[in-house]
Amino acid sequence: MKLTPYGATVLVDGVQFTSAVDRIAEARAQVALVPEDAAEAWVYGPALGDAIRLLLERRALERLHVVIMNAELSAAVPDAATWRADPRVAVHAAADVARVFTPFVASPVELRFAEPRAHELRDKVMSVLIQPFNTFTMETLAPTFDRHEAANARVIATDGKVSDLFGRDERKAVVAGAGPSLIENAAWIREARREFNVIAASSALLPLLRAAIIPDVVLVLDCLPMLVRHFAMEGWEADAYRRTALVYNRRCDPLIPAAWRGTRYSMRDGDLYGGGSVIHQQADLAVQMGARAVHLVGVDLCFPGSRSHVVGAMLPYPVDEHAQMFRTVDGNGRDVATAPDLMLYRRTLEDLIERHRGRAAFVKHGRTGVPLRGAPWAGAMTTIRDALGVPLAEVTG
Amino acid sequence: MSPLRELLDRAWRLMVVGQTAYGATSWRAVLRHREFRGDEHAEAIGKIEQAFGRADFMRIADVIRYEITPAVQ
Repeated sequence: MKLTPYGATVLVDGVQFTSAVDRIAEARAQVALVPEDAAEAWVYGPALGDAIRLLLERRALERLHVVIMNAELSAAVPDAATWRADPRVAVHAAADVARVFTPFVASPVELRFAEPRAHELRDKVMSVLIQPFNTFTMETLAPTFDRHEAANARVIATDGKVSDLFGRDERKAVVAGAGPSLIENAAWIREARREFNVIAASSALLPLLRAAIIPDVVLVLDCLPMLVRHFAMEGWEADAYRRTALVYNRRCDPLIPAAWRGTRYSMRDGDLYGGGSVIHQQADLAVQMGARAVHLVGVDLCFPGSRSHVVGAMLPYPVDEHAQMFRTVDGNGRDVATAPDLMLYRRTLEDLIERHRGRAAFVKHGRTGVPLRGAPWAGAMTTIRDALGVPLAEVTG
Repeated sequence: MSPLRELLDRAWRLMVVGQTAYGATSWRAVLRHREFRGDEHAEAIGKIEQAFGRADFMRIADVIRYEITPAVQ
């Protein structure tokens, strides 16, 4: 990690640590997130200490928790002794902080350069920081989604509800996302197809069909009109319209349920666990349907090989490694790019797995994706038996 | 404060507190604003585009705050 003086700040590997013009104005904007009368506050990444010093000027503040997101970076910053000596300051290693405490100030650059053992906390901090943007996005799209729901009213009235599927399939489940590693798993899924209830994200539908795997259930959560492209099937692939159940968000584009020729089930917010991504709802549905073992495939939650989706998926997007602010560590221990939404999904999926502990065991496939707490890796993935032969007792033990 | 200044202020604040995706959306709203004269800020806009390419968000904030905002009504 290289620090270079630059104006009023330093560059960390070429990236500005703080404002190079007016650090105090910047720090004032940051500490404005902490109420003036707060007795306790948290700082995730001390940066150059400006926000800490401003907070310590407040008489109401009795305790200031400073969390080190990168020990090497913090050790290289001068003047830290001035705030460390204040008896109100408690310094914590990120790995020792289990959740996000509020109110808080976070240094964007500290989050970017968080060391691997701080990644879990960083992901949780980012999940909080991204929430206002997600709310803004949903509010912007709400009129479109309301129109969708009104247009879907007729099919909703005659279709089943997702709860009709609960308790209906006790086979092991494959929850298929459209991450790049999905295709690595196609051979064993195809070979053991009948043993599994395959629940696919709509984004994984076409890649699965092209690997000759027709899922039992397809779930569409996202309500953007462009999602129609996930269903752009022709010829034999369109057979899935008849043999596969569609579970659809009531607010999805009406073209989707209208085109489906198989059984359909509508769902509302709250019917299944909401963690931000369709994957959470697929995983929850698998358990609600009766699976006691859930195999997660194509659930990479990062950008393996700088790709956003598996080959053949519709709506992939470019991944610019240089512009990717955040890095994480994949199942092989390799550095890989990620993004705030994927960081959020990873942690909420871990919450879901914890929620189902004792009811269902989760197994993760595809080590080019990120590890998930509570979901051990499925063998070495060198043979089909490895992929399938994970006894429930082994994965729950 | 004019609506355009408010947008610039919002983009800056969001960037410095780490709400960078929201900040990027606010910056794009600045670029689309009918009163924003992009041709007069071409150099600064170029710097911001470069900084986005490096995910250098504090640099983006500085350019918005100290190179563009003072020249906008």
